[in-house]
Amino acid sequence: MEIYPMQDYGPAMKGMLIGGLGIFHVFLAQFAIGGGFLMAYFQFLYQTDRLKSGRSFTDEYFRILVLISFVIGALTGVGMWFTSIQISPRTIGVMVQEFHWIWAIEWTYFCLEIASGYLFYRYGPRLGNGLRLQLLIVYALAAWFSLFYINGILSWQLTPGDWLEKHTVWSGFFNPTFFPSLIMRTVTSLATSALVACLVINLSHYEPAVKRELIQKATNLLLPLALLLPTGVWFFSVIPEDSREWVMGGSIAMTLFMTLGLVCSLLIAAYAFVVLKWQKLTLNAGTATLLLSLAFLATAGAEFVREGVRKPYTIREYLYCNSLRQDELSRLRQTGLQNVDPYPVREKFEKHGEILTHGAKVFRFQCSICHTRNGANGLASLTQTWTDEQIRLNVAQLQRTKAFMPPFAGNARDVEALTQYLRYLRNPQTFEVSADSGRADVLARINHWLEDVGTTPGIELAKQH
Amino acid sequence: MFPLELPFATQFYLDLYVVTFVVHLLLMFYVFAGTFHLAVFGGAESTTAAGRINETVRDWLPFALSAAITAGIAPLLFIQLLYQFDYYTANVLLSHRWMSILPILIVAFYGLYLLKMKLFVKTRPWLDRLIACFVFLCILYVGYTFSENHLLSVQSKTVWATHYASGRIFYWTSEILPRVATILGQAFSSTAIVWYWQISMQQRQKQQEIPQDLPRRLAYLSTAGLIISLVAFIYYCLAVSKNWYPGNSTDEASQLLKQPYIYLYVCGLFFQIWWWATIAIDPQRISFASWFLAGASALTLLMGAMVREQYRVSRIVTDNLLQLHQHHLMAEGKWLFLAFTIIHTLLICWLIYVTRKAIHASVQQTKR
Ligand code: HEC
Ligand code: HEM
Repeated sequence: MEIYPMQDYGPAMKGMLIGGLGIFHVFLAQFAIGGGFLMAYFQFLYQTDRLKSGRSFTDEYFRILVLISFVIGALTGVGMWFTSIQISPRTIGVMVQEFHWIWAIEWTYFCLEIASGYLFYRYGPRLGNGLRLQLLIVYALAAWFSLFYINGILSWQLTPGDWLEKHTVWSGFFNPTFFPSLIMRTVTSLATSALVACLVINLSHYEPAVKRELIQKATNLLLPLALLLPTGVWFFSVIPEDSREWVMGGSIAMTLFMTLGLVCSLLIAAYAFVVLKWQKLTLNAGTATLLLSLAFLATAGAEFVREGVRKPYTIREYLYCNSLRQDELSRLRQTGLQNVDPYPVREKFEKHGEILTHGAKVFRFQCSICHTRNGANGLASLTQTWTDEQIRLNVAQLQRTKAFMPPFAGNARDVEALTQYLRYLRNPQTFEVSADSGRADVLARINHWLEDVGTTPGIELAKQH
Repeated sequence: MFPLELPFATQFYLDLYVVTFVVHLLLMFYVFAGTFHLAVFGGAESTTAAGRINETVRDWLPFALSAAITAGIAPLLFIQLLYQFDYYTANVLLSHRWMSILPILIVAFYGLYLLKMKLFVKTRPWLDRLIACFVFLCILYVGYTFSENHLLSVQSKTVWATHYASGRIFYWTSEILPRVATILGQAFSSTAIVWYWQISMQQRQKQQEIPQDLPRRLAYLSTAGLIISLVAFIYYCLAVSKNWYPGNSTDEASQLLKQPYIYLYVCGLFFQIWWWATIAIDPQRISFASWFLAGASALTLLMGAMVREQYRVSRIVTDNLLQLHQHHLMAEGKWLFLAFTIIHTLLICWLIYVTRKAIHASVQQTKR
């Protein structure tokens, strides 16, 4: 087993880092993908004499797209990769090993996207309609196909499907959530680009009548939002049962994020249908900004849920969040964690250095991916009121404590060291090791708890009950 | 195929890595040399060679950066397969420092757009220069960080543990500066040719004369860069030989010297220096020399990249890794990748062709 060094982000949970960046990146990517279709649509309307200002608006919209999406969108994309490496090199390693050709194919689409995009940006205003439309269609398809490919890899993390047995690229790629999430992401992309367009139109120099016309056409791209509900149902019917339960109230944070995403999307859809299409009203800059913010929140909710519902795995039934495979975890029960992690501990302990260093390493190795010490989801406060025995039991049977935690990987001595470390975190100044720590009967009890629960994941245990 | 006496699978990924890496380098060089030129010679009159270079790079730098980044993604993918553990470890050890290149690049990007829009050229030229200097430093910082990360990734586990314990986010070794100079010194020779082609094309399209002093200027810049690179390389070899790991040293050195790459690389540098020198003497020669100088600089980079990989392979490739490569190569999708590479390359060429043709036609029309 290869052990990576782990960085400490203080009070910030690692999931927050990747989720936080993910929201920006996904939102910008949606803008770019939907934007391609929107511009091709406007150019087409212009060519068929149905939208006079279609051509000039397309040029304006593309300039903004290049300035925002080609810069921040592209670099947050690389940023997602880099952040994933920082947080869990093992996970990204498996993803790259399994799907590198998919990623390589996606990269050829990036190249096509950049080439067609810059040709349009640079020469578009001087080109004839036919060529403009061709460039826009190539651009839109290239951007959409990059979504197609990355969607296969991301949805595989949650529902690896047949891949768990076959281990072939395509069995993982076309997994149970592939199509519902592809449709949902496509629909949201179209909606995002339409809302950005409404904002741009409002801020542009067109006559009010022209603005109205442009907005009417742009908001047509909100109509596919109607698909969101049925595909959402489809999505939730194919994800694992336990994940569904987290979202339906089993984990309140998940439920809240999910509700946030859902409510925001529904509000946008309702506004589109009732106000824009039925009442034929238009959209001013303020409302466009508001709806765009709702879309951003919807993306945020969806990304957090996507990151969250995989627990306790990063790759469902294959790799735990703390980068351990099931067989490695079972082995660590026998061998213990002592001497596994070659990286020293940076904290300085005034007293009881040996056991606290050991405990700090156990924390870093197994818990730090989801918990901090004193910050977000901090273990010091989660265990604040617990007795020593309570900590020992709950850590030894971690998967029973909460089914979305992995089973504990280590032996009784590791549990004991972690217990002392958690106690230390409550109050470092006055900390003293528990009087019974290390006693044979205590270790035997912990051992009994460990053996009692075994290494079956909590989600399996829940099914058995 | 570049044989490094490695098993097929490793060789295969290595070749893909090396080729895509050289493309990344060529584009990155344009950005580096361009921002350098704007920062140092930004005040040149627009009729002079320096001024024309500035005009050209202002216009093209944002695209070049975009292309350099996009081209960087492919080697980023293959390097993760090739070196996996060591590469990731270096990334994690550098931590925020490694991640910082991304916001820096975003800032640099917008700086380039400001330069392209020429917002301050007339009203506040000092501000324009300041932006150029700042962007240049950003780019230098990114390049430096890549070298730092590379060098950290080939260190021993003991070095990693010490680095981690210290909590530092900068890694220092005497190899870094000569390495950066060796690589970036070559930026001018390949970019100079692109500048020459771009400015020649402007002559055809916009009837703008090629400034008389252009070939000489390009020759001076390139020769200076190449000499710096060569000197830095020699110094680097000396620094490395002092840093050899005990017990490993003879092996690594003989590995490098056994293969032809290091000799071809040095010959390539000399060849380019010599030809640029003849251009400095007789500027007319540039029109035909540009073609094989372009070839020579690309080939030199390729040879340099091979030396670079030899060095890394000898340090960190284990039998276990070789077996993993064998295993990964079985993954499906390679033929599809190959097919899409060809299709998309052709498609991009075709789009460029038809767009240029259309633009050319419209220029002809307005002339009439
Ligand atoms: C896969 C991510 C993950 C890992 C790994 C993980 N936890 Fe948790 N843990 C959670 C989540 C999520 C909660 C729920 C927090 C809440 O309810 O506020 C939680 C809750 C807890 C609680 C509070 C339980 C309760 O009932 O109040 C404790 C104690 C705890 N974890 C300890 C640990 C320890 C010790 C480790 C390392 C050995 C660990 N966790 C590893 C995700 C994880
Ligand atoms: C303008 C910005 C950039 C500059 C100046 C730059 C510069 C460099 C340099 C100097 C190296 C060689 C390092 C060495 O061998 O010591 C390098 C390598 C590399 N670059 Fe870039 N780079 C830039 C942007 C990027 C981006 C955005 C990516 C990713 C998408 C990238 C991907 C790579 C990769 C994968 C390597 C190989 C690293 C290795 O082998 O260790 N580069 N870059």
